[in-house]
Amino acid sequence: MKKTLLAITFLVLFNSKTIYAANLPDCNENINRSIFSFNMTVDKYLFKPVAEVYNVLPVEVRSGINNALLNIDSTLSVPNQILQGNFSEAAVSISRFAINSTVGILGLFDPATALGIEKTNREDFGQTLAVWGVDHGCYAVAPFFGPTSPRDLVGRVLGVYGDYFYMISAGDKTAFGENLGDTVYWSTKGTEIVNFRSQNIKSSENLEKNSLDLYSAYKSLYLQRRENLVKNIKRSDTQYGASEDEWKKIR
Amino acid sequence: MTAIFKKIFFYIGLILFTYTNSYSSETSAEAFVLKLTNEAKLIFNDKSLNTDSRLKKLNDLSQSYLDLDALAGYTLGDYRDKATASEKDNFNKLFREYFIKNMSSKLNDFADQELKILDSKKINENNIIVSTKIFSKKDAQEIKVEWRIYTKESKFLARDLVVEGLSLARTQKEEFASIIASKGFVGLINALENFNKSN
Repeated sequence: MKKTLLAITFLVLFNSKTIYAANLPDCNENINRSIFSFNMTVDKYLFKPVAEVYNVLPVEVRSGINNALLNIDSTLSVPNQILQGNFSEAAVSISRFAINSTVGILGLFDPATALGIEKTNREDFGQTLAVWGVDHGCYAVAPFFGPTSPRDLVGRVLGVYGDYFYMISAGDKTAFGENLGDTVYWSTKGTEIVNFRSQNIKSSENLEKNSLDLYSAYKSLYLQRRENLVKNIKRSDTQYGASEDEWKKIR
Repeated sequence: MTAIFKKIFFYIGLILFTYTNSYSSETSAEAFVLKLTNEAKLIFNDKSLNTDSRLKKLNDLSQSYLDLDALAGYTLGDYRDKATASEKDNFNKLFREYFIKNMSSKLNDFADQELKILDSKKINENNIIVSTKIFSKKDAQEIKVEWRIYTKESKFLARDLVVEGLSLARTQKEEFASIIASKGFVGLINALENFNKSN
């Protein structure tokens, strides 16, 4: 495992060129398209039906689960905020986690926001590698996980082992003398997938219905989202999506 | 001394005029977005309309509010400079039909949602970004949508929607670029024709 990780890291680091994400090379497009079709089939028969059932739950329940998942996810943001030099954001994330995990009953509620401690940017190891100057590499599609790149794939693997929640559940560390166990970790990750899918049912249906090339549409959306995350463009910030230079060519 | 005062007053006046003008163009752009969404909502909530009459109304709406020729040009990307005039005309015609049908399907799901203007910002001489939030009571979701409004001679036209940071124009452009790369411009025209026929 360590060797594989090292090999992938090596490939990412030494294949890095400055490439604008939109022009990211799709080095194995045929394979990627096959995996994309496989993923769409899995989604059609597994993830989407489960997400539709999940959406039957009352809004308040789903909102609580979403809060709890975001709270757990912040344990991954903290080390990455530190690695990116955003110490003040890391301090805010830790405060939010402490308040929401206790007063907010395991993160189901978000009293931290009510107290004026606003959400910080979500950070992962893929973003940290990007901040350190590592480029995406070739665009890829991973079975089950969907659009990715060597950089984000390395980030994802690092994200498993560098995540405090993983350490105290699937890993061998303890918090307050307890290890939560594998079941808690994997059921949380499963719920994360279902929660994410349930929030995107309408938009993905629209995309499927109206795209002339669904594979490219997903690729574009993935790259735009990763660009926004790396640049820390918050949902509340104004940004303009497409580059100004492109629009200037249009009269 | 009087000349200096005159100059100072002139520059203060100029700054105030520019500021007021820019402020008013931004508020007008906000009003434009509200008007556009209200008119679109009227179309979607009118249950007496059949598909054809709804598409016709949307087409009329797009003539007054959307810069579809510019959007078509943008989505052509690098091929824009290579295409002949007749290719561009044909593409623009097919793109318009594709866009209206696409919009009809996309916006239908959002007809019951509420739009709130957050703010607006003039980013250069001809472009204003109007930031809005769309609320869905049904699933308690909030969606951030930014409207790229092109302004020329006091006229406004919408060019792009950026939904949660994802530009619809850019997504469309990259989708078209992929089709042109694999099947050529003819492949894109065929794909648009097939979509328009089957929808």
